Amino acid sequence: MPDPQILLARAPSPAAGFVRPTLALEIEDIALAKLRVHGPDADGRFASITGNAPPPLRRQVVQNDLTFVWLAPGEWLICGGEEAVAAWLAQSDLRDDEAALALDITHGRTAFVLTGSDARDVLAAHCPLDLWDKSFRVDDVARSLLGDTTMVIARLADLDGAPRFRIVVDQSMAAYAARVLARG
Amino acid sequence: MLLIDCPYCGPRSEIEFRCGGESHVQRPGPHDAASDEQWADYLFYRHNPKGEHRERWLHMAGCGQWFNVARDTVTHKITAIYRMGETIDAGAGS
Ligand SMILES: [Zn+2]
Repeated sequence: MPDPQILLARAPSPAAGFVRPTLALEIEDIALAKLRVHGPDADGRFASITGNAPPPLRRQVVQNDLTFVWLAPGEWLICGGEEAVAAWLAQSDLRDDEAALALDITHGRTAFVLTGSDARDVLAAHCPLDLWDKSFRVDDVARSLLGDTTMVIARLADLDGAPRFRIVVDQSMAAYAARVLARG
Repeated sequence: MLLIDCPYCGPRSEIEFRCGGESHVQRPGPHDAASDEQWADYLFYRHNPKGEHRERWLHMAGCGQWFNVARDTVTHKITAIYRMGETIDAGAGS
């Protein structure tokens, strides 16, 4: 069993956030894991591995201190505090499983939180999704394009009446993504 | 720009997708019974209809899944979207 006390060394993200009156980008200090299940009954395997029903298509669900994000059939992203994710990985223990894989991917990704009344306008310039309130509700998720890279985007609960999005990109594209969002 | 209704993600912009060419191309076999002509046809020859065309699309920037699209090559109108392994009758989309 991996020892949850031994946490992987993380390189600091090369990206930088910013704060303005109508837009703020913050690098989020969370751990990320991915769960992939092959075969026809992926949702059934998800339930037996996690003890919970999987999130519906294009949605995320919060269970205790972890957020399970739907990415594709048989593919989920798990976000949470570093210790919670490490504990979940240790407890799910799929190392000998031939049809399921759970992997810590924190070192390969950067998570941002984009907040503010301008957040949708800025995203609309670089992403083809319709992120307005009616078509992208709180806890809706999507994998899509952000400029020349791809991202996972999830809508978090609004903050002071302004929308808030979690955006996860490859770490090698994080500085680019932050520049694109800063440029507006 | 096409709006393509991914069977998993819903309607998404064409720039998230890649077209994988004609659907339902069957590999001839068994391999030692396939003639050169059948093999060349499988590898190189494709229909190029003016009108409804069945093609495979990949939701590359989204869920990463392949699926089938029936699209009119003149109007670009998409008349049917169905999953891999499924078939629809000729003209069923229109
Ligand atoms: Zn999709």
